[in-house]
Formats: sequence, structure tokens, C-alpha cells
Amino acid sequence: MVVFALAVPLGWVDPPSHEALSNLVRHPIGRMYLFVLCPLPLFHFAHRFR
Amino acid sequence: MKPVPRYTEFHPRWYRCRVSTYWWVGHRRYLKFLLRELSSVFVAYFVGLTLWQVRALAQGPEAYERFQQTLRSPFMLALSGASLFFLMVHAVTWCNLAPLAMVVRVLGRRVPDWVIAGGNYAAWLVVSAVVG
Repeated sequence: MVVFALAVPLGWVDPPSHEALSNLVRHPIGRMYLFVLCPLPLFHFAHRFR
Repeated sequence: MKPVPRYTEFHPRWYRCRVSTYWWVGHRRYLKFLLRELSSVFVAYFVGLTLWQVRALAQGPEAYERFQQTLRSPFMLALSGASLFFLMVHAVTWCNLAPLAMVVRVLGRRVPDWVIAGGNYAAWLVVSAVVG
């Protein structure tokens, strides 16, 4: 949230290039990170909001 | 002479005191609790934003640039600021609450609260540093 939603849009840091970020997302560790990062917080949200 | 009670074939309605849905707004403790629970909405928003970013990346450089342009709008910046605030509230309140949720015993002795809370804060810092 700090890096991609605030620091990059406000110009505090240079945005990563499309190629660099695509490679990061396609990397097995990046995929594994996203696989954990996405469902668990959604489960956490659903558990509280139901 | 006793008055004859009036009977009806239908069951009478129960007396239920009407309580506002928002009764908790006037109570500071409950308001804090509800705001903490509602802050989980921003946890889901963060996941949505991440998935949106991955989708933009998959669609190509133009879509990624459009995604970044959208995040630069004042509305999205304000939303991101609010989200960061509520995410911090969510994380800090959990770290402070962790010693009550996890009672750890080592060699028959209860691990002090500050060790458990400190461990949570340390883990948060390490993960943030690695990801950042």
C-alpha cells in the first residue's frame, strides 16, 4: 500500500518498469507470494465482515 | 364481578424494545471495536488493488500506465491514505491484542505479554523490509 498506492503515485520513488514488475510477478517466488497474499487477507476480511 | 378477558385466536405480538442499528456510535468502546472490524474492508481493498495491478500488468504496458494514472488521481490518493491509516490501525491493534489471544507457556511459565507483542511487531518489520 505504501509503495504502489502512495510512494509511486506521489512521485516519492520511481515507478518500476512494466517489464521488471512483470518478471517479478511471473517469478515462482512472486507467484507464491501473491498466492498467499491474496486469499488469506480475503478470508480474514470475510471472517470479520460476515 | 371480574372483567372477562378478551381472547383472540391470534398470538399476541411480543414486546420488543426497538434498538437502533447504530446504537454503538454513542459508545466509545464499541465504536472503537466496530471501526477495528470495519477496517478489514480496507484489507480486502488492498487485495483488490493488488489483483487490479496484476491484471494491468498482464494486459501490457499501456494498461499498466493507465493503472498508474488512475492511482495518481486525488480520489485514489485519498482512498490510499485512508486505507493505509485503517490498515495500520488493524495491524497495531492486532499486535497489541496478540498476548491475550496467544497464551504461550515455556517450561511451565507463561511467556510475558511484551515478548509476544514484540515478536509480532518484529515479524511485521522483517516482512515489510523483505517485501519493500
